[in-house]
Amino acid sequence: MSPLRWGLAASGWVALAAVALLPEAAVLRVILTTAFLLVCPGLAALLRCPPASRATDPAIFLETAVLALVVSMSLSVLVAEVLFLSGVFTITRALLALAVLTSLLALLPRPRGTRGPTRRAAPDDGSSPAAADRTGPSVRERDAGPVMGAFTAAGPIARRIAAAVVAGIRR
Amino acid sequence: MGKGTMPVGNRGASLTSAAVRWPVAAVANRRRLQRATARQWAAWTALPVALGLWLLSLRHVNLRGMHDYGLLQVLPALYWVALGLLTLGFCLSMIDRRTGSGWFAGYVLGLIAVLHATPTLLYPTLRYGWAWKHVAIIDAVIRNGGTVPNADKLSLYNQWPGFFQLNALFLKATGLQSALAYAAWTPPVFNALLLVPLLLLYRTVTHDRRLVWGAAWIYYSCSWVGQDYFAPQAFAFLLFVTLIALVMGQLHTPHRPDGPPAPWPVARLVMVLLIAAAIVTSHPLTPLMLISALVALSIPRRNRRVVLPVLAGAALLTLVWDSTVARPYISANLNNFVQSLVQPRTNVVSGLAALGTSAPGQVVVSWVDRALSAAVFLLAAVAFVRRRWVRRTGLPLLVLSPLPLLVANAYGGEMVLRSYLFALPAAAFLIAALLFQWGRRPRLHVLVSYPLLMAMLGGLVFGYYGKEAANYFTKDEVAAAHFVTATAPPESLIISVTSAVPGLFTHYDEHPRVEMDEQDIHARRELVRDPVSGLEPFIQGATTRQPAYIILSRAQTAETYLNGTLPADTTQRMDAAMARAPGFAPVYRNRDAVVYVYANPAGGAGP
Repeated sequence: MSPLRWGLAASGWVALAAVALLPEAAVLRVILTTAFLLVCPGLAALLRCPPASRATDPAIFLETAVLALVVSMSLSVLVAEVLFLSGVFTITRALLALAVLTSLLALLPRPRGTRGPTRRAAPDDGSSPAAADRTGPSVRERDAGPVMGAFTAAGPIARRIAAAVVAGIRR
Repeated sequence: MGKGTMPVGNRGASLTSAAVRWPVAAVANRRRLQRATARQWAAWTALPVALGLWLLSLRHVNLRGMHDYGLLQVLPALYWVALGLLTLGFCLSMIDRRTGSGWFAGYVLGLIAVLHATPTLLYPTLRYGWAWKHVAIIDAVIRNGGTVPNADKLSLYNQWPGFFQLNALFLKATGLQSALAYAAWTPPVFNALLLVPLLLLYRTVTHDRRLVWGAAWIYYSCSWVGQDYFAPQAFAFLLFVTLIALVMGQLHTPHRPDGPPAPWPVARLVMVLLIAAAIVTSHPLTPLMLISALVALSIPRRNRRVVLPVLAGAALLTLVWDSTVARPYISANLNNFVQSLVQPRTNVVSGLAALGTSAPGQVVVSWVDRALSAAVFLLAAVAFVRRRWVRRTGLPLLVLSPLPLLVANAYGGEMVLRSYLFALPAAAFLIAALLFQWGRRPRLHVLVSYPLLMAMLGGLVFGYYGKEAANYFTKDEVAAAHFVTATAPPESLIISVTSAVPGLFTHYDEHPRVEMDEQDIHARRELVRDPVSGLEPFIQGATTRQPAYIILSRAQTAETYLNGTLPADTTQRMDAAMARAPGFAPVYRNRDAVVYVYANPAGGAGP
């Protein structure tokens, strides 16, 4: 079990503790609850269905990041709506529901076939739809991807963080 | 590999061999290499210099000088130099295939900052009256524990509450008092977030960095409709683009780019439907746009294996939601929907401004908006003809997908703008395929592309900045609205000329409200003829315990001038008339606003 999964499983309970113990609008409370609500439920859901990109595709980090955000917000919307529409909303109940969900998604054994593709990608043979009539870029350039440059440019630490998150999801 | 794409190492080797055989050619090649290096340096320095100039340009901007053209007429020349330099640097980066993605990301994020962070940095308060309204709705959701009673016209938001309840959850979790703490930064943050699903969408079609980043640049250069503020539409649009990128990614899975699309892994399909559910419960229009886009993508038979499960799920979720939680709104407006279906022409033209009474500058702004929108679709059509490979990508179908909704419903006169918004991500890529699919002579292509990109940005700033006189609020206007909402007794009537009053919707569930520019033509004519007589039908129920509050402010004056719904001097004439009329008492006045209270002398103390 990777540290990422343990961290995700604990994240909701940490956020719940922050709400219970820290004063309103305290910096630490804002950071912990924001990080949990915007990232953790979605990242835990991604453990069940890793991104479709190739393991070596550098854009996988961006796909992971945006899916973590969007799925987290979607889950939060649905949990909030269920509680509000049934007239039983409290912040404790909402965070409790999201924390339980996140823990289950993070800790339950993963079904077979969800570890994602790990083989090394073959060089692009130019057979994509765009290849038919383009005077396109080199194989090396295409494999570099259009988006990871921002992270590679940010230095080895950013690369390591990205690799660790993606590896944690795939593990 | 073309001449211009050769890596540095190879180029160096070829130079060496050329020097041995043809010394003159070697010198020429070396000069060319030096020129390339100079061009690279220009591309590298343009970004930080442009951003520096942009920040410098924001030091002294006289916001009170905004009139017909909004921010366009008050931003200094340095701002426009920065924008031009940023675009030039981006074009220079596009010439060189070795330019790293980090630089492209820097340029596009720089463009987002220059375009969308400028109002946030300049304005002392939250931009857009609608954003203030949404902040008030979140406050009401928290106060009422969910559904807001007595919401009147705003009861619509009770039936698509996702965005508001998400924010309520966030505020309760963090302990922040109001969404005002972060709402002002929504436009730059939303646009920066949207960049990621846009890139993922474009990468499902090609890995050519020029096309991917060029499409992103074009999207931001043409996105003039201003649906990026603190609103359910922006939230749902982010989810929409992400979902479409996921579906497109499954259609063109990287493991089998030319094979038939792979079926959905169950967990991934559940995740996609989860996003669809959030869209369906957060915004009335976006689910219909989603269904329309999925129907369009399912037209090619080979796509159906992937698209139909998502389409069926989205349609079922929409049906369930609209027949349960959203049923009151749907049933109340069903007749209008049916009537709209048989009036396609009315639906299409309803979003176009009535130019007869608009401010002269707004006529220009409106025509520039139309020209930019038409140019986007024209260039996309040319790309469809000239770049055959884009026909197989599904993007042309996405460009056309809002069309059925455009002819089916007017959406309060907004459908033209919303259709443009939903077509733009795909249209931007088609345009990029037309402009940035360079073979030889990339410098020649830049000479064509740079003016085009500048023209797009020129069109964008008219539409995006041209109405800022009414979208910007001073602290005095906020103070006046706060005075009204803090002192008006519950159930007392609040009257404004337009909705451009920041914070006036606070406690909207406790006050009936009247906006004079939304009244029928007879009521507006009477108001223009005699302001006090025009107000009488609305205020006759006012009592000393529950008086009517009438607020007049700078942005309302600006809005009436810009859109021409009422004469531009309406607020001044109302101020003068109420100052003389019996029963009206000015209770608050500052530089930008005045508040009158009216207690019907014959109305007694009331209940």
